Amino acid sequence: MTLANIDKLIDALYRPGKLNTLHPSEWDILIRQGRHADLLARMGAVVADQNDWVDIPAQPRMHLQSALNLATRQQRELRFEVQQIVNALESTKLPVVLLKGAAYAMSNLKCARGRLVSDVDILVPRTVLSTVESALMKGGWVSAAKSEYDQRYYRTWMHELPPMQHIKRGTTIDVHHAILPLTARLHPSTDKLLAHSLPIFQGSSIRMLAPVDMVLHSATHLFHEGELEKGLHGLIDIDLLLSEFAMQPDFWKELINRATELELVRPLFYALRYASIMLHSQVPDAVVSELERTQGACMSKPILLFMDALFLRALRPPHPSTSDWLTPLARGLLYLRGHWLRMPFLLLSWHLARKTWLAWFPKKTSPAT
Amino acid sequence: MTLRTISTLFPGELSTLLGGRGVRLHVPPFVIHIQSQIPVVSEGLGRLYADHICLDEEDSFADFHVAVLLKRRLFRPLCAFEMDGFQPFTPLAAGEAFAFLEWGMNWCVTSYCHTLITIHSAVLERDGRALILPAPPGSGKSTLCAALMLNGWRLLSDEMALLDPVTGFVTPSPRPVSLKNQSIEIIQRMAPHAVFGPVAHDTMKGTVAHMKVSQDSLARSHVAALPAWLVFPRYQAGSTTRPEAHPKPASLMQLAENSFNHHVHGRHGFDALARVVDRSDCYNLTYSQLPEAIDWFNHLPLPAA
Amino acid sequence: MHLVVWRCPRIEDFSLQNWSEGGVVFDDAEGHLHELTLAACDVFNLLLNQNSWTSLELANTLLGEEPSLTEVAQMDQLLMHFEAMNFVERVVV
Repeated sequence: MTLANIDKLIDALYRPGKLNTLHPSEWDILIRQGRHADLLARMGAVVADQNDWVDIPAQPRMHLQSALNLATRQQRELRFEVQQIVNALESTKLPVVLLKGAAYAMSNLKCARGRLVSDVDILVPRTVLSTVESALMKGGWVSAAKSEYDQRYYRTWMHELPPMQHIKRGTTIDVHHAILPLTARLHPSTDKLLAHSLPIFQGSSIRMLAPVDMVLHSATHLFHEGELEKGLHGLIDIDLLLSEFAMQPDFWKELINRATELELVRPLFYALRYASIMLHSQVPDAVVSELERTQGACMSKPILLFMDALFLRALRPPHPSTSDWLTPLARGLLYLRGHWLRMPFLLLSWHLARKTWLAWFPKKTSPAT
Repeated sequence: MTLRTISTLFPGELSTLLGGRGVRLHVPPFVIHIQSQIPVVSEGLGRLYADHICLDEEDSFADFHVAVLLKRRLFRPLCAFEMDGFQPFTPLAAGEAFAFLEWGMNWCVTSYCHTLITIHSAVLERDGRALILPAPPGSGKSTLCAALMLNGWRLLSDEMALLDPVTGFVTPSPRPVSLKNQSIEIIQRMAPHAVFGPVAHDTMKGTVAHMKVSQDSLARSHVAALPAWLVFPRYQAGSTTRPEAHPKPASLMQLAENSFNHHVHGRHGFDALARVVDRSDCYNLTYSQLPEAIDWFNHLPLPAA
Repeated sequence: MHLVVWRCPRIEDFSLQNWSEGGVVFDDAEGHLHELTLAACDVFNLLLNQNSWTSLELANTLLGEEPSLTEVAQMDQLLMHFEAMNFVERVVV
C-alpha cells in the first residue's frame, strides 16, 4: 500500500511518549490530521491523563488543550441535559436507555475521554414512540425536521424520530426505536437490546446497552455508515470498548453468540479485522477463527481484498496527507454501499436524486459581523 | 536562519509564494500559513503586514492553514475562505478577498482557541493597563479604536480580547484595524500618513478597508496587559460626550454576552470575567465628536487600587 | 399541616458574584448567566449556604425581624421565580 502511514497519529492516541521527538513541522501535520479525524480532544485527553503537558510544545499544546476543554465542557452540559430528559420522561414510567456517546460519557467509559458529545440518543420500543414524543414536547422539545419530506423520511423509513430540539436550550435529542433503519436489510431486535440493558451505575434509573450490545451497536453503526470521515474515531471507540470489556468473563464468547443472534456477524467481522490491522487491537486468534467460521461473517478472498482496499483508505482521516489517488473513489463506493445497506434500490435513487438537487443550494453561514 | 519580514521579500516574491506553497507569517500570538492566488490578497498583505516575520515551512508549526481561493461562478468571480480544506462560509465577491482573509482569521481564533477567553471587543493599552471596548456592530468601536491607536494607545486588538482566565491578563493579537464606510474617511483625515490596505466595496458591511497596526503595537505584541477600564461605547449623531458609570452587574452580563467561549471554561470563565468587571472602572459612553471622546479616554484615571 | 420548604439541590453548580448594586449568578450545568437584584443575591446566598428554608425564615433572616405577611408573600414570589429558573426546588413536608 502506498498510503502515507498514520503511525504518528496512532502513537498520539496510544503511546504519547513517542511524541517527545517530534519536529515542529511534524506536529503541524499531526494536529491537522487529528482535527480532520475529530480526534484532537482525545489526543489532549491522553496527554492529560498521563500528566504529560510539559512535554508538548506550547503551540500544539494550545490546540490539544482547546479541543479537550471543549469536549470537557460539552460533557458537563450533557450530564445536565440527560437529567432534564429523565425528568421529562418520568411521567411515562419508561426506562431511559442511552446510546453511543451519551451512554459512554454517563458511565465514564474509556472511550468517553476527550469525546465531543453534543446530541443525546435514546432507544425506546416502537410501540411507545408517540408517548415519548408527547412527553418530550411537554418538556420543551420540538421536531427539528422542517420539510414534510424529512418528516416522512424519518418516520416511515428510518430508525428514529426526526431529531428534536429544545426550544430554550437548543440541545438535540434523537429518539431511536431500532439501531438500523426500517428499510435496511438487517433488523436486529430492539426488544432484545432493551431486555439486556443495564443501569449506568448501580441504583441509577438511567440505562445503557449491555457491553456486547454496545460493541455490536458501535460496529453496526460504523460499518453501515456511508460517510466514513469520522471512521477512525469510530474504530478507536470499538478498540477502547473491547479493551474495557475483554476482561469480563466469557466476553468474547458472548460477543460472537450475540452477534449471531442479532444477525450482526458481518459488521463485527469488519470491526475486529480493521481494529486489529489499523490499531493493533488485542483480539484473540481463537476469536477471529471462530468468527470466520460463523455463517455470514466472512466473504470470499477476492471480495475481502477489495473491501480492505476500500475501508483501509476510507477509515483514515480525510486529509491530503493520509490519502492517495484512490481514496476519493473508495469513499464514493462506500457512500453508495452505506445507502444501499440502509434502503431498497428505488427509494435510494429517489433519495439520492433529491440530495444531489439540494446540494446545489447549500445553507452555509456568512462571516461573523 | 535570518528572519525575513514581508517587506524584505523580493519584488513579486510575495505573490509567487502566496500563489504556490504559501507564506507562513508570525501574526502574534499565532503562526498563520496563507495561500491565495488572488492579487488583492497579496496587495493587502504586502501593505499591512510589511513588518511581520515570515517563517520557514520546514522548520515551523502553523496554528492555522488558511486560503482564499478564486471560484469562477458564471459571470461574477467569487472567492472562498478555506481553513485546511474546510469552507465555513458562503463565497463572496473576489474583490473582497483580503477582507475575507481577515474575517476568516478571526473565525479561526474564535473557533479553535479555547485556552483563552475570547471577547468580541477592541482592546488597547495605556500606562500598562488595558481598556476593553466591547461593542456590537454600529457602536463606532472600530473608529474609536483606530483613533486611540493614532493618539498613542497601544493596540492589542481591534476585534477580540484574548483573556487569560488564570492570570487575568489580556494577550495581545494586534492585526490591521477594520474600518467601514465614513470611518475610513474620518481616520484618513485624522492621519493622512496612516497606511491603508485595499478597499472592498459593496460588502455586507458596506465599504471596508483596513489600517496598518502602529509599529509600537507590533513591537510590544508580547506584552500582556491587565484590564483597568471597561467602556461600552455608543455613537449617537449630534450628541455630546456623555460618560456614565455602568452598573457592575449589567457590565458583567454584557461582557459575557460579548464573549464567544466563556462557557467552555465553566466557572473559571465566569470568575475571570467577574474579576475583570470587579477590578475595572465600568462606563457607558455616548458620543459623536471623536476628538472629545479621545480626550476623555486619555484622561481616564486608573481605578482605585 | 403541610409546610413548604425550599432548597437548592445543585449548590455546587452555582457561582455568585455580587456588588452593592446587585449581582450575577452563573449556572455551570447549563452555562447561562442571570442578573439578580441585591435582595435576590442575599436570598440566593442564604440558600447556597444552608439547605432548607421556609419563606418565613428567609424573610426573617434578611430583615432581622419578624416579617409582615406582604413581605413573606414577596419572598414566595422570588422563590417561585428561582424555581422557574431551575435554581431551587420546593419540598412539601
